Amino acid sequence: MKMDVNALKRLRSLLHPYSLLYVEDNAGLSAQAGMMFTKLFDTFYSAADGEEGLKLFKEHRPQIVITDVAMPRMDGMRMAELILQIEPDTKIIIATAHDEIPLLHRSIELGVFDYLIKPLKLDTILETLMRCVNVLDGARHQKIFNMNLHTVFNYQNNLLLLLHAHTVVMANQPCLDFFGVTTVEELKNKFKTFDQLLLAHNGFLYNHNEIDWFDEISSHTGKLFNTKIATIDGVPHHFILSFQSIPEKEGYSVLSFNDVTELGLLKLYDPNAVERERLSKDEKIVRGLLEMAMRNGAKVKVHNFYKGLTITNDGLIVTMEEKNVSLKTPYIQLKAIQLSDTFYLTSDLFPMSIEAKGIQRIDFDDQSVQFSHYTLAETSPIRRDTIRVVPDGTLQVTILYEGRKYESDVKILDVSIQGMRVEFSLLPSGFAANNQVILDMVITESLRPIIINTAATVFRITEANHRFEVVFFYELHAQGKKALIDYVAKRQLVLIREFKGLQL
Amino acid sequence: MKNETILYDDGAHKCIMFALEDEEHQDYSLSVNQYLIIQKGGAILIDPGCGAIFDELYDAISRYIDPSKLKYIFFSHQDPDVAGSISQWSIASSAQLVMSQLWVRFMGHYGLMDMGRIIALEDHGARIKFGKDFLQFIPAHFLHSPGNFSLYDSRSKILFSGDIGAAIASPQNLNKDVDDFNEHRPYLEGFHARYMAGNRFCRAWVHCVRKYDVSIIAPQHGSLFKGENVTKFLEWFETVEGGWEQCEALYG
Repeated sequence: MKMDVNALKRLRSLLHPYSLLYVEDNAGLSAQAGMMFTKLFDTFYSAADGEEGLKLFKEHRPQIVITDVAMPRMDGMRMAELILQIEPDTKIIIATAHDEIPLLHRSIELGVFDYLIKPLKLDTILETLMRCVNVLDGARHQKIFNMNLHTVFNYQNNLLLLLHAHTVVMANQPCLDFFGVTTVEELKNKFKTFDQLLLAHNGFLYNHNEIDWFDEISSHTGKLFNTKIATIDGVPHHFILSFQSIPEKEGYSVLSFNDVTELGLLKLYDPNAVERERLSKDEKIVRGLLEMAMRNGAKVKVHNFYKGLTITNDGLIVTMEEKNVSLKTPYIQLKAIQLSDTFYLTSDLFPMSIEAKGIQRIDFDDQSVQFSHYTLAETSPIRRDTIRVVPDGTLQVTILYEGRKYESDVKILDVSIQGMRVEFSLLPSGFAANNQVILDMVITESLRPIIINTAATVFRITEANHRFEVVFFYELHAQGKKALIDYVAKRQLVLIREFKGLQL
Repeated sequence: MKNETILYDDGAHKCIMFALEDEEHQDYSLSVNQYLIIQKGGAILIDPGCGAIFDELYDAISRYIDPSKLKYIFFSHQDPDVAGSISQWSIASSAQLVMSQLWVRFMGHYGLMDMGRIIALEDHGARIKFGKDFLQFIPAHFLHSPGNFSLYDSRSKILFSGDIGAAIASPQNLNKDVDDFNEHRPYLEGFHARYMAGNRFCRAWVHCVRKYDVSIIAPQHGSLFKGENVTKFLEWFETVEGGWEQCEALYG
């Protein structure tokens, strides 16, 4: 028998984790095969009959067995049968001089790995051993994976529950520990009244008149929820809850509770907390919110404004190092961030929006931005209900107040279908919030000017650099509303084109 | 058929069909339907159409509810006869705009940059609950758009099917009710053979729809299927062969 040295080396390295038992009553054949197998296997056992082979198997548990059939004391088939009863995953290769159909059938029945005809050819043996290695390697990796999965399941901090419909079927150790039970069966009973364990907290998920907690999570697969649950000692913990249904396994789902209590965020969600205002300016606390989003892989929304136009896209916080936070968001958003040097972040998980400043770096290739300052924004433009735009010269306004007209010294800063922000160089005397005025808007973008006449209320007056900014609110009649919707829509398209065309 | 029809009204829940637009071609016409579901004080507008009918639809809706009260606007897919007026509606209301995640980026072309207003549906769909009832967004991908949904209203039992069930009729038959499915079928065949991606998708959609109790199928184009015509339509649609089956003929 000739051997290709390289193929032999390769096979030997592959066979390294495994051992072989060779059973053959012919001393000459056994010696010849032994020379070959010692070159392939680190550990090789040889037996002269089935009985000796079985004894060696029980002692050493080799993963591969090659055996003759006809042998004294115990034949190879019987030995194979007994070995497979002890260890069904053993790969047994039958080697026989007799190509008999009944023997082949019996081998298939037993579940042997292969059936070879003697005299054995080297390439046939090598090919069979290669297939053997592939199967054994696959099983070994699966076993390692399963063992690690079990480890991950039990030793990570998240509380994990596997549910079938509304019933707990599995839970990890931290979950059992948190709820103070020792078995899944006990947890199953506790879970029947789980709704009572979810404590009420502003903006958090808990059962109330309008929300059934399980309906809410199961109809929002993948969404993250703030929850508050007390330990058995009554200490409230802040968890981020997510629900994932298992594809292809109808009715099965996984509940995951990520404990973020140590970030100290609960008070931020309480609108009555005296400390809230102080906390909202505390960058460490705001950083806690960002970290909570990062740890849970929560999508955030990134908001910018361009001449009133809202530009919003998804973002993902990817890294946090000291004060620096790195956020991934699409190119168009990065462009808006670069233009304004600031942006707002919102999320279902946050109690309010976060204003981000201190842009350190914008990487357009990596589609990411790094920033280092963040505060909570009690009032932010994101809370706008309607779309506002900075108008062009085709929209003019005349303000009528106490019989006087104001048109030349007023400038429209932005306009929506509900209101208008106007800058006055000189404020009419006696002008104050809640005053009633008449606004005459004229849109001259088409050949026939459109006039919108409406009563309006002064909502707010602010002064900066000797200029006065006045916000008017109005309720337009249907025709006026449609005309202004049309104007704002067209203006919005122009601004989109303008924004997209900007070269940075 | 009038261009404004109340399909369902139980006092607390109402469904209205508008047919404010027709596509008139040389040999045939295609009606374009818009739908409104009112549930207590809120409402969902379905496939509001192109910018040209915005004013008319705005007025029509105003007869039932203040358009600023719209909670959701659902776009079954991205075509201009479905979503062309998204910019106007985003200004006219503070509604959330619901569509397949595939088309979110596309909306900038229609004048919408605020992706925060959009609820992007994942492929398997979603459910909006109201009390014991719900609205179910049912996958209808590749029938015809690659990111496409039908909407089922469990209270009225109406399935708003988008392009599925569209009928191309001769002008004199436009807006004719489906009285006899077999008579109506010729108006369905040409459109579905060309616009549907293949039979496998048709069967998958029917499989999803059969999970629900449907009393009316309301397509974006053409006439309504009611009662036994719902069953007949589903049985027929299961057999529809589309682009995949005609690939060789189309490519020569």
